[in-house]
Amino acid sequence: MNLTIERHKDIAYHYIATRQFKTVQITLRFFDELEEKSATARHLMLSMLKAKNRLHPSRKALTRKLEELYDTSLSGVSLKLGNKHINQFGVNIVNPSFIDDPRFFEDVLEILRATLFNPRFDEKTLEEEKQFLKDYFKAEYANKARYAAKRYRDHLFAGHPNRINPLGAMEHIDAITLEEVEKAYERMIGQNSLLVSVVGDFDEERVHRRLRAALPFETNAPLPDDFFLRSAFEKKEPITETMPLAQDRLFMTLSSGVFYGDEGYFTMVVLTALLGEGGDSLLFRRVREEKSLAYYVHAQYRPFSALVSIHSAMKKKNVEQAKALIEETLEDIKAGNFKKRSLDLAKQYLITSIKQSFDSPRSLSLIALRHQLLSMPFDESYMLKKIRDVSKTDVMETAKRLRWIFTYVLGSEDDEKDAI
Amino acid sequence: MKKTQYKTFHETVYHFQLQGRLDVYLIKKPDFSKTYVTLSAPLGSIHRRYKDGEGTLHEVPAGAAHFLEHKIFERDGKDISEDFSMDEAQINAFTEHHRTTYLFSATNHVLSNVERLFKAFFFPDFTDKGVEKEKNIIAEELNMHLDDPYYEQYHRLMRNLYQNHPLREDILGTKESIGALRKEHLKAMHEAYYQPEKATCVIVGDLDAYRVKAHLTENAVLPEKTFSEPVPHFLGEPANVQKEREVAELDLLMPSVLIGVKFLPEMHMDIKSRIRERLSLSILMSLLLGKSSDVFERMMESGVINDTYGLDVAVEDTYSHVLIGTETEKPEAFEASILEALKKFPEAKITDADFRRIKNNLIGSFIHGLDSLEALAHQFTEYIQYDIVFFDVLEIAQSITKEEILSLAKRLDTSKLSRFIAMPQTKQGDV
Repeated sequence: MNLTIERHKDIAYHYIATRQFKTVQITLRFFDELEEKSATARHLMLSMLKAKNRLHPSRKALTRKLEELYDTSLSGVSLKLGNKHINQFGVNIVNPSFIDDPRFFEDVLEILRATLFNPRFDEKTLEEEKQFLKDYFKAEYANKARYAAKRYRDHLFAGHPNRINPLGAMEHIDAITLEEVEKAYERMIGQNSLLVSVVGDFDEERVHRRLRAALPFETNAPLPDDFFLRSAFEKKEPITETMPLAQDRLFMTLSSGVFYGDEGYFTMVVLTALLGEGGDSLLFRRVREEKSLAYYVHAQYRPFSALVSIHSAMKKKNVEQAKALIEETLEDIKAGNFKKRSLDLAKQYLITSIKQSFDSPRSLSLIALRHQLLSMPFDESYMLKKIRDVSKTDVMETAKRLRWIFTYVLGSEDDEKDAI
Repeated sequence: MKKTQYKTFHETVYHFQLQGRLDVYLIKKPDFSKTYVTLSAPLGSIHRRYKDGEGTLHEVPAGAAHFLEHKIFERDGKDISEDFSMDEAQINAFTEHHRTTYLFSATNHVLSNVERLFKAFFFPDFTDKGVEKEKNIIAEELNMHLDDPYYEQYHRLMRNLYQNHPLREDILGTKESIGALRKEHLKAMHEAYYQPEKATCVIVGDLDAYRVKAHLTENAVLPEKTFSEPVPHFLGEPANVQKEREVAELDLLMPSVLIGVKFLPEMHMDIKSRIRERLSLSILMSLLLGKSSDVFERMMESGVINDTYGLDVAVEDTYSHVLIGTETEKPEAFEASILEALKKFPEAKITDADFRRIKNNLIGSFIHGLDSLEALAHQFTEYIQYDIVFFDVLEIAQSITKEEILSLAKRLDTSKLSRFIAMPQTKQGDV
């Protein structure tokens, strides 16, 4: 498959034509600076756009139209990429070649056009969306795994730009006015950087022509080129919070200083996989399989803040043992006390994952985005070679530069709630 | 080898039997680099009984199917997942109420990985030590769910909806039943339920079916036939629910309501009619209670529901229910709205436009599913147990008439329902 990049002024259009899929995925990503209050307004605005528009003036009317168009899905999500906020819209449609209706693709484009260029902003919809967003934040408390992760992020990123949730914050919701939503909309459509991506089996030129005609963007800003939150993370005192739980949630954090695309980036990717990604990782083997302390344990590399988070859950009485085991495992990596097979398994895990990502429309669109914005080649073999080239010495040396900066536990006060 | 082409969807399915015992299906997916393989046994959490070779009936503790799933990839006390990993495959497994599925996705060496999967599935190596060690891990899996009030809400609703059905039990079992499970239980259930004749293998990917068949015929080893047999679970579920309504305080900030409507399956129906009924029920529910329905719009307009509102239709051999739920600050209004809507089912009106729309949606949803190798393999396995090829399901759905849906709306008894309302805990000092 090939990636074709078209440009119109400062807007980039990615076309990934492949015969694998029977659906076509169109994604539009609008980039702006990440800021808490504007994130809240932008998220509410996005939610209002995907709920209804002037052509489909109620949620029911829009849903019915999407059903009529063969289960076309219209999505809108707020995301962040480093220091940028993204309003992402997507439509996923059945490939028109399966549909016996020559107007089908035009009808889909009409929905997208109505969503983005014919909005229906009114107080009632704003109030509804505000309520949904408040409900969403309230629901974070219910699932304790999700709540623990939120508390961990709140503490870890306190005072740091990375703390900002792309959906905004509870405390800003009430104050957002319709005028602010409209301003956020005007800014998104007319001034935000924009990247459009289409994945599926289609004729690039034809689709590009029709997309350009249906969605007449003209004045958007150039695509951003700096995404990194390079402010340093200071070591923080560990925090333990309590609530009635069956299982304590443990989070440990390492600072690496290695950001996406830096020289040591692929080494960090391999090191994290070796440490705690997948069922063959050292932590999974030791914490779960050998000591039976936990059902899951995993490590996640955050390349836009250069941190690694390790997360697990276990009975209160086992937390200290798990912490010690995790620290000991990192020491073993630093000292090279791990088998070549473990490193090979980590690389194999990554190689299989990279290859599989070229089978998913969503992943393909993201790989193209990283190519455009972060100079990562749109090339499976490049990524595989980089993974394969990482040596044991590279891993050991990089591990030596990692620093423990923060540990968080959300746990029960004494004995666990009904725990086994 | 049987080859069937589904020209409308550009899909091809190959079918062969290995040694005349194990059904293998291959769905050709050109240009995909990944191959997804599943091997399923008809043993789910609702199956607790087997007959040994002498015809004696035995029952095992709850959670046996799930426990067995945890131990399949162990050999000589070691997890064999890394053998798959080294051959570019990532394995996983999951247990449902009525089935256990083992799977891998591979980007290379597919056939050696299939052999490996067969070996693990048909020739497990249970040890007392391995079983004891796993108890802690499964206990932690269960603990993880205990901290999720929505999980608790679902389970308590199931206990209120059904009186006897094993659906009342958690797939993982209970702390007592997990503690009581022994190697012998796993071995006996495996012998009864993991026979090649009862298993199904589905391969989805860009492979040459003839090469797959030749390779597996030469290399795959199947176990000898055993004499123990699965025993269907207890079928004496009454039509009435155990408890119609329960309100409980759970650790959440916003009330959450889950309503279950119980329909006992028509046992006398033939398979094709049951599939038709299952599809009809989904269509009916989408039309009358789905996100494009008038009921949904009214509840949304009056702030009774939010965007967590959802609908789930489950129709299996021995149970059938619809779940309707939302988080809401107006739990009683939500209950009243749904109860009223259900009562009005017999008077339901469906316009031709509504019906066309929902049919279009069905066709679209079917085609969307073909892009996910995972979804395709699971749907295929689901239907093939009834001897129906998934690609024929759309044709059945398209032949359903508006009159059939209206007739179903009239005869469906929606009065057997249970509601579980989870309320935030009253804190000390609250009035």
